[in-house]
Amino acid sequence: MPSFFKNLIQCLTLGVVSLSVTCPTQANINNDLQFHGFYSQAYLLSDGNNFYGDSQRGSFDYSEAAINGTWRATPNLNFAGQILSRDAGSADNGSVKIDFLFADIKAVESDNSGLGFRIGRVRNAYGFYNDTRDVLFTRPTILMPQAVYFEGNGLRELLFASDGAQLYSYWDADENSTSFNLTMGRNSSLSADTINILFGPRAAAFIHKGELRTPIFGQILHSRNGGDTKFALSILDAQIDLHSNLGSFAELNLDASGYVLSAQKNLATWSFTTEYSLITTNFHSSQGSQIQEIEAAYLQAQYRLRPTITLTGRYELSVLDRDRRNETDSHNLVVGARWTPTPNWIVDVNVYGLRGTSGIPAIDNEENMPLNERTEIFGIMLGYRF
Amino acid sequence: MQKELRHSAPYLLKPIRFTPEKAHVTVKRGIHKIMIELMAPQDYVVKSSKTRTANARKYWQKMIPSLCLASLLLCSSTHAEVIRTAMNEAGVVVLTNSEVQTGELNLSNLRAIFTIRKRSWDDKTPIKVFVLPDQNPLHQQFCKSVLKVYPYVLREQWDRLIFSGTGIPPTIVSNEQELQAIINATPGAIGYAPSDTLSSTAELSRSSSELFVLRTSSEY
Repeated sequence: MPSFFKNLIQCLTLGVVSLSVTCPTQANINNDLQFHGFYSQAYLLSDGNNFYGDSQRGSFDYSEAAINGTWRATPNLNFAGQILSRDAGSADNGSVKIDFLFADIKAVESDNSGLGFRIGRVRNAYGFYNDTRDVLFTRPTILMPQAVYFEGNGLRELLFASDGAQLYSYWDADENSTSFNLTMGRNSSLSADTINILFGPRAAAFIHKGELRTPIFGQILHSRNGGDTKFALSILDAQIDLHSNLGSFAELNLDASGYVLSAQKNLATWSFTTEYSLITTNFHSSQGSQIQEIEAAYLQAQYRLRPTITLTGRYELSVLDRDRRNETDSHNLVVGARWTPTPNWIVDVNVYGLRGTSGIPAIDNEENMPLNERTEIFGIMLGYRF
Repeated sequence: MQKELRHSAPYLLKPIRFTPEKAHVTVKRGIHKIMIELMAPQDYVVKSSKTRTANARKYWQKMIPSLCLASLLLCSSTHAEVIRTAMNEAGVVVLTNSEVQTGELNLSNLRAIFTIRKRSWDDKTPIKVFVLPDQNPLHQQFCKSVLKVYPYVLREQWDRLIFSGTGIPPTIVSNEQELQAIINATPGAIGYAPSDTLSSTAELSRSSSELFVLRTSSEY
């Protein structure tokens, strides 16, 4: 199992780095420069379809590792960067990528408000979880909700980061705080892998170039009573241009725009989260255009049995085409238990029941197609952070 | 003449009745002002140093470990300074480094600081946040009674900062003594302490020029 050993080596490397950076000395601590990171490794066993590797036989082919650094150069200027390696079956091959790398300029700050800019590669704020979706410690289950976050089918590549500029601001009142975040990305070309995952190998063979144009992500988040209650509206708008070597489809163009509504209630032992998204895609070619609406929602309840044990249940619904609701819907049910024996370690155990194939990574399956309407997944993931 | 604060209650600052919805915190400088503002005559007695009693010596004995640490720290360039909050009856106080210049810190300011939205003090020095580990009882008490947030909600916010690079997360310190020592030694630092260690921090702060007190006004 070479990938497992590769992961083990990554883990050890991270461990050594973590030891060397997390020994605070006494007295005057300069926390202007900080390093953090994580490593997580999953084992997935599924029935029906493969999900990340050959999971019907049991797969270790899902792991994530990252190291990040933040540096406060001046009170108003921070720099931050993270390198990430993610291995997820055929969907992600574990190569090391620059996840984010930006300068953060806090232009205005008063007692109750602030405004600033981030320039470089920034994470997109989209729903509650997108900006840290690859970190087991910050997402609710081993796999992100398929609904809203498109975990299995490649759209994640387009969602998670932008090269460009991000404006952020906040206003605090007595009992609540509102923040606004707007990211404008520059055009970037899509990797062959992304095209492969998005359109399938057969279609991808005819596409020799893909470009993501003018992605815009915006989020307004209202947090009441220090985060007890949170509401957010996120929007996205982007265009994908595809250049094909087929005469009649020489120029293809995909407009995608949509929004996510998010709400969360946090109580002493319970947390309830729900998100709803509607994305409209408009596919233009010389043969005409086709509009499709993707609708998704989930409901999630988390119960903290003990400070170290959290139980999670979630129901997800996604419809790939609202006009053909009955043919394109998927229903997922997830239950999980998460144990954090220390703040640095986590063990997450999940059971998934998937009805419908929209979230199944097609390229992990024979013929690049999910074969069964039903998929059951047992997953266990071990994570370490520093 | 040098004067000493003493009182009949076990805590230096007697818990003040507190209405959570309308927490209001003011800062007064100088020991004399504190006495006028804070001390109720039946609870707090101000005496000259000549009237020091055996009771005071007990305090000194209790303080020895802290003082050892403090004297080490005072050798460094920054002086110890304390902001005290009598935010409620939980016995947690907010501490800042002596060089911190701040006017008023209300609940919303404290939340903005501890969730790393606000990054600089009024004089533009960076705010450096120090906290205890998540499971530490004092940290939990601080979250619940001073910031009025669930510790796990605060942790989620910090983790989002850490793994999206959008802020310098708080530095976690292993125990209360170390936390206090680091705050005393680090310009721009803010953290918290149990109020029953205030007798020692009061001594610490007396070594430097001024004493800051944050308090809630019970009349609100």
